[in-house]
Amino acid sequence: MHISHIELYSWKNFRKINVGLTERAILVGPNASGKSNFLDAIRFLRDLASPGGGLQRAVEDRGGVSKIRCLAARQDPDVGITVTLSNGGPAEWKYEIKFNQESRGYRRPILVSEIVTRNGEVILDRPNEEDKDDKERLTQTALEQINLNAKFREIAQFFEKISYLHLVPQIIRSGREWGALNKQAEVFGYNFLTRIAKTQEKTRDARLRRITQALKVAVPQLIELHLERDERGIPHLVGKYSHWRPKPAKQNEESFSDGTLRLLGLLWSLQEGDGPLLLEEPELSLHSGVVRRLPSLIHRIQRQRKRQIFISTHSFELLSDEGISGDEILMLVPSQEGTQIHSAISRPEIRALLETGLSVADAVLPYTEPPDLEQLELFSS
Amino acid sequence: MSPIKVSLIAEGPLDEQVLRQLLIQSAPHLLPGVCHGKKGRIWLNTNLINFNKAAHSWPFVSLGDLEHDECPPTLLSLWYPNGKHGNIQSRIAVRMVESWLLADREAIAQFLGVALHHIPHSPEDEINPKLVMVNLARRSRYRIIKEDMVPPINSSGSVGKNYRGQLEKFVVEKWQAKRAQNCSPSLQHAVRSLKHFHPVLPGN
Repeated sequence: MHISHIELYSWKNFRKINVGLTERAILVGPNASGKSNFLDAIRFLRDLASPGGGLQRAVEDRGGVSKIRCLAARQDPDVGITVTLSNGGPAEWKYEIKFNQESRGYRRPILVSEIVTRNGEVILDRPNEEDKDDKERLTQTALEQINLNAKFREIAQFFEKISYLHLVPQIIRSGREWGALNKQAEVFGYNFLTRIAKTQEKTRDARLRRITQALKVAVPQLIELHLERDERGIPHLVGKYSHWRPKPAKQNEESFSDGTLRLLGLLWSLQEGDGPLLLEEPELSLHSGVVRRLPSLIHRIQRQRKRQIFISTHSFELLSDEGISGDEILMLVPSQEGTQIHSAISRPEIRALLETGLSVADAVLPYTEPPDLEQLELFSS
Repeated sequence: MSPIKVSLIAEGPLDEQVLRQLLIQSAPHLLPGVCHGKKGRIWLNTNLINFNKAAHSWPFVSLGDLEHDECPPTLLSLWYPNGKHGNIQSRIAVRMVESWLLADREAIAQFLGVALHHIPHSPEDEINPKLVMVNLARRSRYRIIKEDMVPPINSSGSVGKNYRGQLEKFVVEKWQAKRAQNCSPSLQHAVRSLKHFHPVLPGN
């Protein structure tokens, strides 16, 4: 199953957008155009459905409704997400949520509507009679409640499997204390090593072996990678490196380079789970030669695991891959009325260039350049 | 009539700024849009053919340097072996885009802080206009021009660390194609061609 279509209403940079999604969707756009916020809308669905999540928590973690609502939205105060899910064929499921906040008191988020349809048939339509009798019910989605989501548990489970990767090497190395204090720490990788440690030993070893093989290409000195616990029981990744001494040197994650940690995190995440995977700028800290190979690497794993992958990127090298098709590229274009999003091939001039065989990088990236780039040349203290 | 949007194709970032100014100053019926390329001459050699194919549905204007090639027609036949589409304009600076900047003699002399008689009268005859520009910067009475545009001793680079930044500033703030074309036939040719460039697009 994959998300084949998404609509956002008043979600951060997006006042109103409506776009089809392929099984590999690559987001490009200038800085601050909303690439991360687009991915965050998909993460929001995960946060609604995951254990310990739900509407209140998901909104609170994002700083409240007022932080989510689009600044460009004027009249319509409701925030909303609608996704269509399909199994390769026609749309099967549709989940729609709209919410707002209480006008007084704690200003908790409250549901304006929650609708689920399957093959066009309405399975859930809130607010219903019970919601009208008991307004408190509107503080929770049906998605987050197992006694209410029985008829569409399949999509609740699908949302729960959404995973997001934006590893910050410094947080993996020493983020334990920071992570405990920060609600969003998980997405930056503070519990990354714990996740590896919790994986069944056989699976873990097999994955680490595969990762070592792939990592060797980028870091030729690496011989072996395994998990070790220190005297306090805290897991560490230990790498053996060859050098001029007869015995290889051992180093743990605290000494790994940023590039090693980020590639390792990427390779692990690709093998973990089968739900949609959101990758935020996977090119960071990596050598351009490695970045060029990421699209085909991601595709190989995607083919085996049948998972949808979203990638946000600024990388010329990543987009130079000849296997990337124009319909996989979503261009984010900021405007006074919020960011617009469209498939690269919906613009005739880009379509014409791609049809000549020009790479996506050469044809599309110029459109994501800020218009007054030369101002940077004029910048000085 | 509203201006026609054209996409640019440039050899480098400095060429892009020159091309934008050229269109703004000499061809107000054209509106410069995004700029492709900026990855050097080899990229132009390989990819201009694709833009030529796409020109049936979108107009393009390109700018490259002649450098060591024999003459502009040879270069054009290398780029467009099967002929050039009417919706693509390929301009070539003889020998480098720096010649077009040097051609605005008073303005560049003032910008670099050198006497006017040091600026060549016929910059297109210079084999290496970039070197001319760097050597002029060496004579500058402004410390910042020397520091930015001249490579430090023992540097393997041919230009200073902010050579391009200074020249982009010059192009955006001072350079006038109308004045410069008097000392540069290839620029004069470019100004004239862009003035008369009227792409024909489907639906028009």
